[in-house]
Amino acid sequence: MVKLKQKSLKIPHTKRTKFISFDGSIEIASQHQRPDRFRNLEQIPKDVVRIGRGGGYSYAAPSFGKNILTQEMTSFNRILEFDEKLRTVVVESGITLKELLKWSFGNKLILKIQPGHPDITIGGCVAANVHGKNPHKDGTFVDVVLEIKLFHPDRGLITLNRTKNSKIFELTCGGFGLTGTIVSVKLQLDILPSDRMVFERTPIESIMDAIEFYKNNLSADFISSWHDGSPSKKNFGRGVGYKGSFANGFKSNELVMPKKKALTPFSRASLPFSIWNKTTAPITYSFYRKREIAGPKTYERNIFDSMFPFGGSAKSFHLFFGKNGFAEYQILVPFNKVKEFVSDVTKLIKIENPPLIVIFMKPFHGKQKYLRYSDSGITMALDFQRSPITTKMFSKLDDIIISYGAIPNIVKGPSKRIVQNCFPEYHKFIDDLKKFDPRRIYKSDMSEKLGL
Amino acid sequence: MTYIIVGGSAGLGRAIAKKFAVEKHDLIIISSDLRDTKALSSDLEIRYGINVVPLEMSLSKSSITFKKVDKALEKLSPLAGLILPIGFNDPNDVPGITDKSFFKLVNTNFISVCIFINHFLPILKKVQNSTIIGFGSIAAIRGRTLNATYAASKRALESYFESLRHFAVNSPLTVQFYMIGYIDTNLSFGVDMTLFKPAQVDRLANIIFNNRLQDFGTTFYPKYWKIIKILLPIVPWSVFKKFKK
Repeated sequence: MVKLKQKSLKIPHTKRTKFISFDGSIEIASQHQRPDRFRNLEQIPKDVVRIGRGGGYSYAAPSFGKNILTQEMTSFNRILEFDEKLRTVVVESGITLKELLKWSFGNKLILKIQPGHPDITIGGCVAANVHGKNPHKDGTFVDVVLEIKLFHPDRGLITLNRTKNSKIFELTCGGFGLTGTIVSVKLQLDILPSDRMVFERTPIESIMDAIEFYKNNLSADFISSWHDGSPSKKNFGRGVGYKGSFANGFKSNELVMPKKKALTPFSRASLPFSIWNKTTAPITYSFYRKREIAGPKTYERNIFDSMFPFGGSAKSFHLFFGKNGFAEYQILVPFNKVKEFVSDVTKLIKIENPPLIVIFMKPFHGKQKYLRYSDSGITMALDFQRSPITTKMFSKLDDIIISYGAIPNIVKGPSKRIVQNCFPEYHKFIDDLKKFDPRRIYKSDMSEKLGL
Repeated sequence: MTYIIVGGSAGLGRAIAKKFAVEKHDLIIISSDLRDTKALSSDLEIRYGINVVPLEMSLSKSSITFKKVDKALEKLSPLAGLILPIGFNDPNDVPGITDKSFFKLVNTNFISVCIFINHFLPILKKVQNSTIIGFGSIAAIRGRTLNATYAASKRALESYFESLRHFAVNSPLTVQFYMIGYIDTNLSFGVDMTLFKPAQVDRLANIIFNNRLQDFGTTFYPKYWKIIKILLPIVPWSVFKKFKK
């Protein structure tokens, strides 16, 4: 296996860059290349340990690491093929969701699975096997991927799909870029019925009430809820559920986009202190909930805001965590264990009293494979202010998660212990990866920490 | 109208290709790697609904054949311009470089560019609102150890463009030459830019498109390089010889 000893590596058109994870937890300076032509990928000596990078919005560090060359693929952002009849598109991996939507909107098409930040790239979506607005109805990103072109210095450019190199295809979708550099992706698009979505707000009194809310709305185009995370008896778990569906027809043929840029890992950390804490969060969310409930039950949002809340209206949520950042623990709990799980987690939160700011939830449906964040159940994202109490709480939370057979979302930065214990195919992933790439030249801080 | 962009697959060339595509012009994009030109051509065709022909040509060789370009032109709208944002440098380009490397640098940065111009000049001289745009480098302001052949080629090219402009007087052809400072492309990625912040290529591409018919001769981008062009040659030798980087 290739060892990490590249401190003095000199490759043309590379520089040393300080990378930071979006949650602010990991900062590493390492070599950085921004290839803009095919030969840039090929010119790196074969023994250089490397990893691809898209927008850099993961909460862990799957796209950089100490003594690892980061290949930022954002200049590989071209649209290569479009089949109007089959509604398929081939794009390079560095194209962002925003750029793709800008183009697909003009053709009245949409990629149905999109995470909430507009500057995430398609390559990143594949590598993290992200989910979208209703993973119970739509599945996860692998479900819209038809084919991948992967570059590996030992194998050249290879085509992966469900019939050709199918094992590597499976290993690459949700494989954190460890199989090679994702160069292009063929995607299945869907008809975009409207330039707007209609949302319905439902007041929710507890986390368990949210489960009922989901059961009644599983076929919605958008479904999600947020819940107050403050451990007080009165407020904990109270929140608002949102059900969204596409409106009818187009009011405008122009895609409405915010003028201001979305947050980057650096601009997210621009406040020197955290506005969120145990006092401000419950007050804010209590007011916000009252305002949401008092407002009209239904409302419309344009497509951009509906797809990317963290690129516009909800931008300040991450900004308010300040320089010290936040810690998100995202778990997927099987449906039949949700009730007991929520009860145990609630007890733990009330005992430990961590700075839990808010909980986001969604229903999921899918098959778990390798290290993908996919299964049938409920996903809960617990967002904490970063602090020593949070770290202490996480190790106790790990025990509960292991005991319930839940799975963590790896790009949010869980520990090796929980990843090893929760993913039945953890060792299979490592073995299959080694079979494909015995030298293991694609690595990251995250893969090193998780022993991948 | 059709524009030929030589060196159009990455960096400034790619930005120029995008701008001209946005403005609905057909394009022939030429670079040394068809994989890059093909990808860019598909992107521009799909996004902007224009016709683009990607071609692979190596300009580092002394002989160039134009068969493919001429054939491509037959299927496109009339030729309106030749844009040559091509440049090639070599980290080992100091006096005493090997003959092979020397010829490669001179061919790519000077000879092939002139041969391209010479081939299309008869057509462009007759077309209304036609343009030939060349690109020099601030490295050519005053020769130093580094980039010796590159700088010499670019200075020769500047002179050729001066002659070309003179030749095109009283014709519908506009001849322009941009002296380019540091711009934000992959070539400047990783270069120490403490004193000079690299300029945005998209902005330069807009300027090139908007001013393509202005008869200004030679211009600088970013503009402040014009002052450096005046000052650098009068820096005393005792000081200048210390500018190693």
